[in-house]
Amino acid sequence: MSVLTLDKVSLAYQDKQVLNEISLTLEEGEIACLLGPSGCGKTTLLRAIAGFKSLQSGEIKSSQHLLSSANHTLPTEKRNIGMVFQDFALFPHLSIGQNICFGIRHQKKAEKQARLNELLELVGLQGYANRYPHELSGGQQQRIALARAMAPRPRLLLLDEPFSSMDVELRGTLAKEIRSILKHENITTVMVTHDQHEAFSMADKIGVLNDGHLLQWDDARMLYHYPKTAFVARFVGRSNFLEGTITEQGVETAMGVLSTTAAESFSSGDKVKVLVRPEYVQLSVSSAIQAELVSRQFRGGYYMYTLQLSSGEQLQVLLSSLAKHQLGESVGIVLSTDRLSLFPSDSCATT
Amino acid sequence: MHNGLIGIRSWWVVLIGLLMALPVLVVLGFVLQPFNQNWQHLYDNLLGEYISNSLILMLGVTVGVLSMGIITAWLTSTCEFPGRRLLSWSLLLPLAIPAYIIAYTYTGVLDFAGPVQSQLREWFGWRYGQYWFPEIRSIGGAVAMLSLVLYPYVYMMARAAFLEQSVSVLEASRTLGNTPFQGFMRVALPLARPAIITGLSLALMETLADYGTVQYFGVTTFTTGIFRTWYGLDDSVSAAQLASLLLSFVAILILLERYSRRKARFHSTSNKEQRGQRYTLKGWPAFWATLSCSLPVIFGFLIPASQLLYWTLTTAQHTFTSDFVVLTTNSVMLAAIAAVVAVCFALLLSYAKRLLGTPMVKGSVAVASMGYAVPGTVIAVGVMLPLAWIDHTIDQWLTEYFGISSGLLLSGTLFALIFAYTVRFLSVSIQAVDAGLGKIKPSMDDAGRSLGLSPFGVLRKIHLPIMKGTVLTALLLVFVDVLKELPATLILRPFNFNTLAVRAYEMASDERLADAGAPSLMIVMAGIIPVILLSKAIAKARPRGAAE
Amino acid sequence: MKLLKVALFSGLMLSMAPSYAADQEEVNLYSARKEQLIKPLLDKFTEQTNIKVNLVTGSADALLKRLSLEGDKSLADLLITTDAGRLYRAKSVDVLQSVDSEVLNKAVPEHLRDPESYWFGLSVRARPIFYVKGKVVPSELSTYEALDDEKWAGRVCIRSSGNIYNQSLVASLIAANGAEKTEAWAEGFVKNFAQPPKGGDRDQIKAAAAGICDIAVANTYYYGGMLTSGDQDQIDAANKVAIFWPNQEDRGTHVNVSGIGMTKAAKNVDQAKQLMEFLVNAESQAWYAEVNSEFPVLEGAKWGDLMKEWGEFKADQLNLSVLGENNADAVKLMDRAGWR
Repeated sequence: MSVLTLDKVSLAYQDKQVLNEISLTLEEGEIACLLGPSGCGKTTLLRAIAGFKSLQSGEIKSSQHLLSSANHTLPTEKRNIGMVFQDFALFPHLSIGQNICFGIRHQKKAEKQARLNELLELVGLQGYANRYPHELSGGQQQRIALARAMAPRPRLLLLDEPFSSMDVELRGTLAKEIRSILKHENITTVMVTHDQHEAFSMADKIGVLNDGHLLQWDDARMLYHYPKTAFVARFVGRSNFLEGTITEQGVETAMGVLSTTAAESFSSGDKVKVLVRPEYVQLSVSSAIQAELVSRQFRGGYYMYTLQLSSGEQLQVLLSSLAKHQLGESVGIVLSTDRLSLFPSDSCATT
Repeated sequence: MHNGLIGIRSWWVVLIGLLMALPVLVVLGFVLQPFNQNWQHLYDNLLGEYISNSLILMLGVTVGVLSMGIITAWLTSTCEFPGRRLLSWSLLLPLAIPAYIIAYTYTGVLDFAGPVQSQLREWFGWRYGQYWFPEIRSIGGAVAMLSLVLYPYVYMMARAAFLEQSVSVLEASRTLGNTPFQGFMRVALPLARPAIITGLSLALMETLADYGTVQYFGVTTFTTGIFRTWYGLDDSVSAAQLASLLLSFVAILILLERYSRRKARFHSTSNKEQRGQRYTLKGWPAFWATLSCSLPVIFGFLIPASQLLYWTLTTAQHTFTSDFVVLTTNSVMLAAIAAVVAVCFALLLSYAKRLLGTPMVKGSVAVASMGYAVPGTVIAVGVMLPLAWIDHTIDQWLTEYFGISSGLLLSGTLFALIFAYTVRFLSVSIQAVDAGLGKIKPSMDDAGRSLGLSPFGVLRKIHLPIMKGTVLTALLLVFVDVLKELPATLILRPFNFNTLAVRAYEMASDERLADAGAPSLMIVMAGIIPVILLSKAIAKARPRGAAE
Repeated sequence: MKLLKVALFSGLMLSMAPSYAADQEEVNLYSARKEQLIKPLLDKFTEQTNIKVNLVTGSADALLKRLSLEGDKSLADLLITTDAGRLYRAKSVDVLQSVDSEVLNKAVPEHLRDPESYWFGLSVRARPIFYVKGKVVPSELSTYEALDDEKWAGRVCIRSSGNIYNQSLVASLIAANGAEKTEAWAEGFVKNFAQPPKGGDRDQIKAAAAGICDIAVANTYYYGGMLTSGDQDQIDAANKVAIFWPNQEDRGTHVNVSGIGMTKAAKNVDQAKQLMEFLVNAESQAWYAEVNSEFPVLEGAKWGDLMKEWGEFKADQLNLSVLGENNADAVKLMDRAGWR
């Protein structure tokens, strides 16, 4: 049974439409991530799920219980939803133990103590119960905030940009730790971020939002390789777009005529853009398609080369750093995949 | 501090701190004198009553100012209801009315012979003793009067705290299963506690220092006891000893509160403050919100101000004389100068406390701050004693070496008066300035110093611009307080120098309440402008809402 | 830097204080009489003599404290109080000096001035009993001492014992009857209170008029003030009561004075003496009676019309110094009796 169902959720501030008919479902134990640039509406959506915002139309349900609709908003405190805030929002006047037990105050003392110990152990902060929030580091506060939100065993956990105040290194380790905690407890989670790497390392399902629209709701691999819109293609991962024209044989581009099933949804003569991920391109001595190496960036195991095609279009490609090519050198290239995504030409004015 | 220059400066600060603390220390010093036989008399007959009445008064005022101040502050800062904008600044208006004046006006309105009871008797044909009516001139009446004019301190502080609270903390409490009201009780209120306590302590110190109201209502408290011992028994030593007992009372309260806070911090741990939307109230809740925010304004301001206006109109021909302009100018000028001086010293001392933090500095600031709880007349004596000593010493020295007699250089001048105000109202300004300084992170100081600013440069270039709002608040609070101040003005002012408060007192103490109306109304009028400015300053200080 | 500012500032303050240049004759006065009850007379004095009078008003005890702290450097030449007890106290803390003036000695009866001429009464303030017409017959009343009788239980209004006029009244009773008897009297008297003491003298008369009590003790000038106030409620209240002069068969009704003394530090001795003498001339004395219904100390000075209506009465001839001497005892006695 789906723990969270959004059905055509719309929300507006005065005359500005912030969320536009968003629908999605989340199964028990799944971790979902709402990804998008700032101002896309992802935080608003999270707050609508939490019950801090009322809907204009549509419905939010949890296991068949109606949480929000146009004329009904179940108060946050009755939703059994946990939330970790961007700034953690720990209560500075309460100790760590009191913070964690804040949501389970009605339980018996022994139960509370047991849960507290369990959670502190889970987040690896045993012995911190009597400290105060300001005595902890950012990462520790983060984990306490998580423990506090998990204490009442919520049906759904919401995380609002949980790693935004951490440095890159800490983000990586914390994301891994928290994913394993969430999976261990089998907690259904919705997280908001603008960082795709965070989304990739945490989420089972990712929803990409832009301008109040949910553009795609998929797993990470599908998002990367089969983006449904040019925006998703551009927002997730690195992308090159080649100009193309649909022909009987496939798509005609500066890299030759590429045959792909994706061309079937277009009619002959249509102008399209072809998504070429950097790792789709490989060198081939035998290839007739020649490109000039324009620039090069060392990336450890790989070089990120910029290639210029005869058409003048540039491609960024990722090539092993075992071989080193000189700038200005001309190389033969081929596409290593036939899994191409095509978008109408007018859908991505910029690359 | 290892810097030699700062080392020297710290001595200056200690010196200034001690100077400010001097009058209070003089009062405390009387404890060292032997206790005389009057103490036995006080102990046998009166002390118990003084203590119990003072405690009841404090307890009552605590309940009064907390309930009025916190409820109105919460409603106006987090809810939207009809009249909210108007009420959010008019709730500060009672601050402009001196406690003794509100006591006079309510006595005029509610006394047995007053219009309310007379009307009731006329309507229902009652006679004395046949019906129950609350006795205004009682300890309960004193609690009501003091609460009505002192709750704005709590309102002001609590409101600022509520407006500054990180919204996500309140939302976190809701995701943990608390209703907005539970969140208020369990998170917002505890977080606002230091601010509320600050407001409460100002209100309580003023309660303890109040003489006019309790004396008029026939309630015997520590303060009336001090005056009775001094005036009636002609024993200023025992009177000062009583005053120091009062001060230790205050000191214990302050220490208890500090202890109860210990490790817990109250400023928000987040740095991103986000303004949530106000809860829009409709129907009955909106009605109750409007009503509960209107009542303090109606009873604390509109009714007494109308009574004063009525009195003023009935006596206009002989009260509005030409010297009325002089009185008003004197009052406003004195209040303005004292406000600037007190806030300058408050800035200096708060800053020194933060920068140096030596026990000497902290101690002298703490002692100086207690001046607010000391009745004005007692502070005045504490001011006169050292000044007279300085005057006589200088005079003697000049006479001895130069044959010139300098007479009284400081005593009986406006200098003495302003010194007294500074000492008495330092607490108010320090509380406000401290609150502002608390918002500035120590790292900002470090950044300023690393960019080549001196400590005073940090104060001027970094702190002052950030704290403009709080400094303005401090200025206006002292201004209004000085405007209302009576006892110290009365005893310390120079020849031919009168203020509105003096005029109002002279009329009222001659039992000519109606004639006291005009100067009282003028005090209130002169106080309203800064009070309105004050509310603007508070509104400005609130954080801007973040996007999304 | 800061210190410099403070120094500059204090200089500024000093320059703002009134200058005491010698180009005009002047006299400096500390007065416990309210400004509106003394200033018109002072203005008249200046008009007649061209001597400027500088005035500070305030409570007598505060002024006295200020005077004693300022010591011989004080600028004040004269001290006016509204009761004899404070003048006695001023004398005893050694801030006054004796004034030898034929005019003063002649104008002020002996019992209304200090035996050693340290202070002189300026106006007499009587503290009689007021009774509600129709509820009390004057024949039921006799003396202050009789007010402890059980028949007055719950019928007496009087203000708090913190008030100097009550302290002086009890001090006079101690002088007349001794401390022990007076204490016993006070205990009985307090039992007769209709309500806990509160408010001022006018409030006692108002309370009596409103029916809370049947008799009130108050100073006459407050009664006069009510009758001439222009406020109909006050006039109506005052009209419901009448004056009874107690102790006419023995020592007389208790009186106090507002009075004046020259400070020890006085620098303008001649001018100060002139002002003292001015305040007891027939015209000034009539002014007290006219403006504030106080009785002149000067024999034969004109009384106000209102006061003529109240009639002649016999005043206690006790030397008022005694009030000062007995004041502390009076206060303690009232404390013990529960008179708050």
